[in-house]
Amino acid sequence: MNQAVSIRGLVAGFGRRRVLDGLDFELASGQVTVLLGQNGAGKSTLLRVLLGLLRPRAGVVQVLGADPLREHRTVLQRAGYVPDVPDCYPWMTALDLFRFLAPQYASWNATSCRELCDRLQVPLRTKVKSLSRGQGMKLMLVAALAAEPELLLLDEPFAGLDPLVKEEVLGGVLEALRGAERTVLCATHELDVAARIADRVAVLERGRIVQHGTLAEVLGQPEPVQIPHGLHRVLAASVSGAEVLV
Amino acid sequence: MNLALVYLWKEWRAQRGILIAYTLLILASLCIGLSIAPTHYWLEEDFGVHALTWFLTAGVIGVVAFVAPGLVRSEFTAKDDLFVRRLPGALRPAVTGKLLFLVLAALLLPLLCLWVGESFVTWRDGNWDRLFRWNWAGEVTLHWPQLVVAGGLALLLAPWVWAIGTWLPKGRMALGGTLLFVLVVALLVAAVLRQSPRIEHGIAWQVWLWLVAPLGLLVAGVSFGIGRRGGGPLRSARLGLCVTGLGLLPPGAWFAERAWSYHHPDPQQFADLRVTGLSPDGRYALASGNVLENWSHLPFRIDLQTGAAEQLGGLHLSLTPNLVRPYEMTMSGTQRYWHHWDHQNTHTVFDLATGALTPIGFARDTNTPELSGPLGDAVADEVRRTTPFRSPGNRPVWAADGWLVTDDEAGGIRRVLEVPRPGSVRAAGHGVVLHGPSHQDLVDLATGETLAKQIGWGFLVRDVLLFRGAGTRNTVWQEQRAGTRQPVLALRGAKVLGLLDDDRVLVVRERAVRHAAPARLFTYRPADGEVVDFAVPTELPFASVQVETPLAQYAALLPRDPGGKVWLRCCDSDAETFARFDPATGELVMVPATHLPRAQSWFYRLLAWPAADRAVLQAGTRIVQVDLANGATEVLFPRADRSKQP
Repeated sequence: MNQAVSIRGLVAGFGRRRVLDGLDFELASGQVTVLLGQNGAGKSTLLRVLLGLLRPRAGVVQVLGADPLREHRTVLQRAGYVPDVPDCYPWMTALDLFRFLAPQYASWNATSCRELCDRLQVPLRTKVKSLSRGQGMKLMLVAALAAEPELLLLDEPFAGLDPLVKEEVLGGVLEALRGAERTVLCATHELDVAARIADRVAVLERGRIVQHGTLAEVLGQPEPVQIPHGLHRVLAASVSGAEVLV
Repeated sequence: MNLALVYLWKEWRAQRGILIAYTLLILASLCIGLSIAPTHYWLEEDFGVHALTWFLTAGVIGVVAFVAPGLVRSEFTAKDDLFVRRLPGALRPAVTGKLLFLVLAALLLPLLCLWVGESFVTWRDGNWDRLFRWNWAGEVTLHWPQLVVAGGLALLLAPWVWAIGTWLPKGRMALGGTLLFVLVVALLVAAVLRQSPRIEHGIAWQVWLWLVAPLGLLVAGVSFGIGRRGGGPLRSARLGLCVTGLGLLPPGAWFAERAWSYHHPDPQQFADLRVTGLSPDGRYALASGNVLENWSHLPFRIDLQTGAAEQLGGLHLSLTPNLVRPYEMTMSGTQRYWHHWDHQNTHTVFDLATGALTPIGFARDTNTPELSGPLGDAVADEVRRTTPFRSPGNRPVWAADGWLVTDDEAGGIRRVLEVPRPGSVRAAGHGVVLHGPSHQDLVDLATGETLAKQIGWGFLVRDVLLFRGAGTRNTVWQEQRAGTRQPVLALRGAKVLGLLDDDRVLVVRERAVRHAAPARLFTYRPADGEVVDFAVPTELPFASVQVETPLAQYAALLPRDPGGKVWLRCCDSDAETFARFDPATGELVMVPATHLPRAQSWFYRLLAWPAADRAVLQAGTRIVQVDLANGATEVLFPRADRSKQP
């Protein structure tokens, strides 16, 4: 199986603080992997390294066969990213944003963009600063998917959304995954979302991947002492649809 | 390029709100403010120029304070500037787009403000005629007020505001950071300027102003375009500072080289040379020089035998002849001992003959050096030997302990007169003129008696005083000790050069005097009024004649060369030359090899007479020895074999 992402001995951080400490990780192509971890575990930092936005102190990182720092442009042309909060220019409308992004992506699909906007009901002529959080996140999702990326990186896209909007965004994600051979890495700490979309689950704790495998494999493994207490129970409950108190 | 235009559009969309608001607000405020402001004299005078200045400055402020910081600030969105950084290959076109926007804004915003200002001034029936001036050749010179010049310099710094903004968290405090950066650079430059007065004169530092804006743009481009790849403000700052350091290296190295040349001038490359002293044997010269006009002179000891020059110290070192010539207003002389002190008030005696330094004391209350022992005796001996003051009979009068003293008949020392402090003494024949804080008196050195008070020009020949009365510029009067005073017709329109001997003065009538009287050189004896004329060769320029002595040391008796001749500097509007007058034969001849056209930027200066047939002269930045028999010239300094230049 081809590896979309391959990481060996990654060390990264901010200032003197090491956030990722000797991380090894491989992401198979065409699969949806959910990266689980507590707040501050290093999920966003890992995604920044994968996008070439953060220079690692040590380790080897390959994204779609390229070095995200040296082949920055190649990687970013083929990888889409949805941030945890809408981060485009606040004075832009959705139309401005699409007009701005279209010349920057060789693979930009205007038709797909229009269809996604219709499906997710993204307001086209409202400035980003005036959009609600949910509308903003849907806009970010459309902007990421319209470039038809081979690798989609989602950084807590459902955090802080109300249940209805969350369902809409999640629906958009699932729609995008349907029928496309797209590799997805979704960082989240929401276990129910993980249970619904994940082919594989990776658990990040203290700068390292402590568990990695299919949902069933992870549930079958003994629970490592360092991961959040009761993770297996919550995941199992999410899979079965039962309500669990962690 | 298309992407660059996309980012140019993006920059305009991001900043247009604040720019339009600022422009409208400032222009409206200026129009209203200048309309209702009380018309004080300064505003009424040149109202149009003042108004245009303010409008133009408003445009510059818009660029520096709003556009340049906005180039960074506009990238920060929800919590970072990740958006532009995560777009494929966006950093380079983003930099180009921002650069285009900055250039356009720097051109258009001040021009727009200027146009509004012109319209406003025209509407107010004002004019800005004094803003520019043109000459007959059609060249127009703009005379912008200083505020506009400062604005132009600020505009050069606009790229730096952008660059430094990329180094700071969220692009905040870009203006403050730039000011701090400029302050740090200015402090470094000021430190060198303070140590090297007037170094800025004569070096083309203005050329480097052209580097300011391009280097700022380069630093901004690297800081944002490369620094933001895989990093944030800290990485931008590291890279930007590296590029800044590299960019400032050439001007820094150039400035350091200039400062080094300033403090360690190459004697072979002197642009100006001042010879202030010569050792009694004539071998060593004390001189100061610089390698560029306007720069401070630094002291050197030059060996005229070998051409070697040794730098004696730095800028704050002073070498004065006051040990040997305490009351003369002179800074030069042929003498061995020199008073040497530096800015730390370390006082020493510098021996020009050996180059040795001997520490001495210094009395601050009387401001005099304190000498004792063998060195004190040697200095005292030199004071006596080199004194320029003489009383009749060629009896030396010299300075000692605040007095002018002379030998008495009993073999001792007799005090003649006390020199006032502060004060100085100038030889005036057999007398001296005492210059005090409030007086200028002529004193007879034979008796110590004050003969004339508040005298302008006076001359004592034994007991006859020659002087010019008030308002009688061309008339010389003579006064006997008995009190009879009469004009000297023989000296009318003439210039007394000095005492030829105890009884006669050498006088010259220059060719340029009114009524085109013929040039004359003659002696006059005040005792009996005898006049003896000497022939003046017609080829000698004789419009202005002065006595020429080694290192311009004047004395009671006119100094003579070892052949007994008096030297004259003769010049007219076309040429200048030295001439030798032989009192024994009455012959006046031109000194060979000293004829110079007046257009020459330098002139000869007599330094020494080493022998009857030779003279050492300073010729511009060279010291030469002239053979008086045939005019052959030998360069003593700088020697070609010591020159670093081919």
